[in-house]
Amino acid sequence: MGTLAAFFNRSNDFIPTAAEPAVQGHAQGHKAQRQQTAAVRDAYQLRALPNDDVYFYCKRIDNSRLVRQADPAAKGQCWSAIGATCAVAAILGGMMAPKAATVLAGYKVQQLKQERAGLIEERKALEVEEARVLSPANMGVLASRHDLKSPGSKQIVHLQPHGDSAVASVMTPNRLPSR
Amino acid sequence: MDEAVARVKADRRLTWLIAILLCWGAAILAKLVSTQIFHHAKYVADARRQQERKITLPAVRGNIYDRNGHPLAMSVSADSVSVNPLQVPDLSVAAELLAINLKGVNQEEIYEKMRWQAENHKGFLVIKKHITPAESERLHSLPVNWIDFANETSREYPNGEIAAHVLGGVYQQEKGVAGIEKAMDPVLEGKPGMLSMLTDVKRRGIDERVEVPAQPGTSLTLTIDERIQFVAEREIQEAVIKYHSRNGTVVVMDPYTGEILALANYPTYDPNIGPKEGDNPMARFNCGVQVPFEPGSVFKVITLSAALETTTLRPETMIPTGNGALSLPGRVVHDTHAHGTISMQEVLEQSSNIGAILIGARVGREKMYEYVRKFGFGQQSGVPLAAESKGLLRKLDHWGTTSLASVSMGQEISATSIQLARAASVIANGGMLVKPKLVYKRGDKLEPTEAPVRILKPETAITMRQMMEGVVLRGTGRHCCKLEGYTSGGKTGSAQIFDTATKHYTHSYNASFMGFAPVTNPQLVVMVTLNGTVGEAGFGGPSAGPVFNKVITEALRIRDVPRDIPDAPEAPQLIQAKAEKPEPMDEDDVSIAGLSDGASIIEEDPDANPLVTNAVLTGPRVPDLRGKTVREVVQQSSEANLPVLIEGSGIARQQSPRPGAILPEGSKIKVVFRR
Repeated sequence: MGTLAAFFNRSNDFIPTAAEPAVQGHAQGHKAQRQQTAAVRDAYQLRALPNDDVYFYCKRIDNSRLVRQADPAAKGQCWSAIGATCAVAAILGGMMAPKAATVLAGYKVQQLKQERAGLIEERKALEVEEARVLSPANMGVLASRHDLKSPGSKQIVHLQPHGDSAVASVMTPNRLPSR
Repeated sequence: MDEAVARVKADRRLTWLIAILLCWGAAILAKLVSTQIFHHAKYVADARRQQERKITLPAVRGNIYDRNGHPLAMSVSADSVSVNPLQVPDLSVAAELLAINLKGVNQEEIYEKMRWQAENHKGFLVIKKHITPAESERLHSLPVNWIDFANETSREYPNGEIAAHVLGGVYQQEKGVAGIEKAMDPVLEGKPGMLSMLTDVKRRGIDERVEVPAQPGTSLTLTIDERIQFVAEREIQEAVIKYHSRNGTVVVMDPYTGEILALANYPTYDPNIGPKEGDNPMARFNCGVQVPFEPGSVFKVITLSAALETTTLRPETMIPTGNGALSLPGRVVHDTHAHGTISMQEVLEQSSNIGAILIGARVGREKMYEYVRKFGFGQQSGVPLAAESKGLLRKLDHWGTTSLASVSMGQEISATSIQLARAASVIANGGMLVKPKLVYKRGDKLEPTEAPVRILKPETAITMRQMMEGVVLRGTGRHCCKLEGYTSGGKTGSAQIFDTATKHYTHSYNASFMGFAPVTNPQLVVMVTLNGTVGEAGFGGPSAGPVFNKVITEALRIRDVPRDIPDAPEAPQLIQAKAEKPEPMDEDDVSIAGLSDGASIIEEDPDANPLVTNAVLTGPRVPDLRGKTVREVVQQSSEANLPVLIEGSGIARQQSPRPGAILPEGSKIKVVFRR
């Protein structure tokens, strides 16, 4: 069995220790066997993996009758752990939420700005279209189609004199618009 | 021993492992320190470059409005369409799609262009610039990826040809190319700004920061009234076609402020459409401002004004024009017919060349030159339009022996229509030279009006007004320049065009008419020019006069100027004659009616008041009370035994009936005083 310990302790250097009394006798038998085997081993034969022939005895332990001792502090620790986790999560969430909300709001704001710019352009286009429709040339065409004509000067009655336009006088310098 | 050696080896290996791990950690730490501290600025800049987009904020070009706020030029966003022929799977299908969805795109032409580009491995072909929103929407809905759209701005002139020469136009990049667009380009164009936008991995905007705010161009409100402009363009077009002239110009101006209400030229063009091969190049010239011409007889107004100012000549002074021919050194000047000895007023009314020469001779070279300069000839008027001509006025020391005679009747001098309109404004406003004004507002700020300069005495200007009224009532403008409901004054001009090739005057004319209305308080000045008319029908009176009549009548209506000729009741005989012969009243009768404004009700029933005729024709004349104080008015009216109704205080500003009218029995003279 190739364990890390076995890797650092090569099979050739294997020396039983005091900490391994249970397997010592068994290992001595095996050593003698390996020495015999080595004697007859072909010089070109591949060497076995270290401790390839070492087997451990596994004792079966029955824990079915063991009962966990009641720990009155465990429940509290558990809850405090849960609480702490939740608190950390809440703090982190609280710290992150505004940032996330800002990003989401940023998307929304950008979208609304684009929409606004589009609407402004649309309005401009409509204003141009309106001006085109209301242009004197177009109105003239429509008027002639409906047999409408500009009124003659005799058809217009001015109820009130038209301010300065009714004044016939020489313009004096102080009436003139100044710079 | 073996165990100890093994442990030492194991320890050594562990030490190496830890050392490697430590080196690795140190390397990471070093890199972090380098990144976060030493190269902080660089990485921040890199990150910004990656996450931020620099967007140029376009400066929207200012709009142009007429004086009533109607848009004449606007900038709108428009897509331009291009394709990459190398990516187009099927050129014929693509050409068909484009031709169907874009107006004015020829399928075969586009197909050939795309094919040529594809064969020559060229990947960019502009299909159409500035497409309409509907076209853009249709193309965007197509499920293809080889159409590219570029968002640009397009200059729109919604009125088409109206005021084209005033507005001018722009190049592709919205740079002014002519007219007010060019002259006021720095004001209209504005300055672009810069926006920094934080973007996500898909380059979608999250946040933005305006680094340099865009300064949109300032909108301009012109003094042009698009309704008057339309009428002027309509009438000049009709006249140019009717009299087969090369081009024509109409200028409508407010004589007091110099505001140009209309500046129309024909032929004209649509500023929405760029110049094309085969277009009439004359159409793009603003003849009223850029092309001077010999003014001819309209210039006699300046000659006579100078005479009134500098000599003892009066309108009634008799001028011996002889038998209609005057010999000058090297030339003989003719009148249309022999006038004999006529008054100075009749010189203007009959447009006598000989009379004008004789009057000019009385003025003298120096004074004539001085007054011609004072009236603004030989210098730019200052109207904010590109390439304004200053006309041609030779310096005094370059005048020949007959130059004074020539200038007196409007030859050897050239002037633009705008200069002549400005000169007419001097007469109309009482002697002040105004600077033509085309920009009424910049944004919301009123453009200041330059103070005018007095160049004529008020009495001279008023005398000239009356003399010019005589031209319309009795002179060369009597047939077509009298207005219905308004008094008007003016001067016709028919200047023979000088042929520079043959060095002779031809029988082609610069027909012109400059006039104003109403005479008592002129509200509008109109200058009409037709270049290249032929024959007597092409003289100024018959050809330019009707244009003046129609344009100023409409303009007075639009400007809401009240009539100054009240409706006179017709005599029973006239009404009867009218019933028998449904023709318009003779022009002479109209002028008589114009002078008698005793009643202001149109009398249509001949039996209603048979004595009205007598009431109109007999009775005391209303004196001129304007400019007088209340005391003076009361004194004068009591002396003349005329009942007066006084309103207000201060100086008499307005009176009804007008001076000179016959006061009907039982009526009172209403005088309005203001301070």
